[in-house]
Amino acid sequence: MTEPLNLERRAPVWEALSELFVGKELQDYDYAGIARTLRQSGYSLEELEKVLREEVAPVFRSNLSLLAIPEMEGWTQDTVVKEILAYLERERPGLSRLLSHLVMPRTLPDAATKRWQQIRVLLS
Amino acid sequence: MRMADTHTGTPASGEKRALEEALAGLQGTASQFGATCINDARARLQYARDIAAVPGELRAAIDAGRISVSDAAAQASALRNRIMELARRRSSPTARAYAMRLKREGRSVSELSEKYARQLYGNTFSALSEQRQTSVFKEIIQASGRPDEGVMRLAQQLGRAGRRLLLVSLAVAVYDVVEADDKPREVMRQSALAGAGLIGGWAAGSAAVAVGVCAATAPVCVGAIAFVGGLLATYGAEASFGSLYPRPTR
Repeated sequence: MTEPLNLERRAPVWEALSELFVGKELQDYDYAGIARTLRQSGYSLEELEKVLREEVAPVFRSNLSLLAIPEMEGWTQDTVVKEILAYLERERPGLSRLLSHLVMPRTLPDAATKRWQQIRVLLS
Repeated sequence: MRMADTHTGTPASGEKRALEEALAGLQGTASQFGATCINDARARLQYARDIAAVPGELRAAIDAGRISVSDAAAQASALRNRIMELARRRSSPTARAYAMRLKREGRSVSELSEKYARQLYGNTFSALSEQRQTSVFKEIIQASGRPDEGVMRLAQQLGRAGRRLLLVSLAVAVYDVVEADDKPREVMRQSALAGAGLIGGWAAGSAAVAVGVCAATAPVCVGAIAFVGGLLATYGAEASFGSLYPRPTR
């Protein structure tokens, strides 16, 4: 996804995808709501998965880590946008950048993987 | 790993003492990690239990007519946020840094009302009928006590890892006591090492945040300093204990 960042289009997608990292049990209506937002964005499934792995997961995965007392209800769109933009604009040293390219985009926490699979089913 | 041999003053005994100090440091750090993992796992499981209890209590209050549905939704949101804060305070400095990496305050009830109105009915909260607004409030109350089992199961893994580390550390300590010539002294030494590792690690992690060496939201920094703090405290305890209670000579 190399086109300039269209925040108006991307922000609802970021907010919806960040819901995959909350600590509460997602319900059918949560999945349906997330899928509806993603569908309305007009991004393809591949583009959405890239956004999930490269933009959303690096910021929100810590909520599903072994050590976290997880946030249950997710984050407001303002918070999501602020956190992701800060992550994308952060200058990272060579090793950290290399690690984030090699490891981070490929791995999602188990809970997020299962949830994403459900969303994929709804989108396809 | 025999720790209670006599000093002979030879270079070989000096090397052996250095090795013993290094092993003592590792043992203290293992105890610290084990105890920290168990504590964090407990905090997380308690968090899950506490938030799961909220909807039942609020439903009972609604049924008894002591509170309106909208007030109950506000209380559910406030209670969940408070329980989250308390659980984070009970956690180790490293776990707290992880938890605070993202958001420091929970969502308000008005934010939740908008979110659930959109998810349930695809509309803004104010555009909903009174009946649907009540449904939104009821769902906020229900969802406040619905932790994901898979996510919460991670706490059990953490607790198991902590117990294993503590058991290994305890086994080494017991071996050292059994092998020691002066067993009461060795028991005191092992207690001092474990206590120093635990307190040192916790204190170093907390101090790193308090004095600004690490941001409160930087878990790697806090974790590294807690590790080094635990290790140094164990070394210090080993050296102090050796000065206060010298080893028996044969």
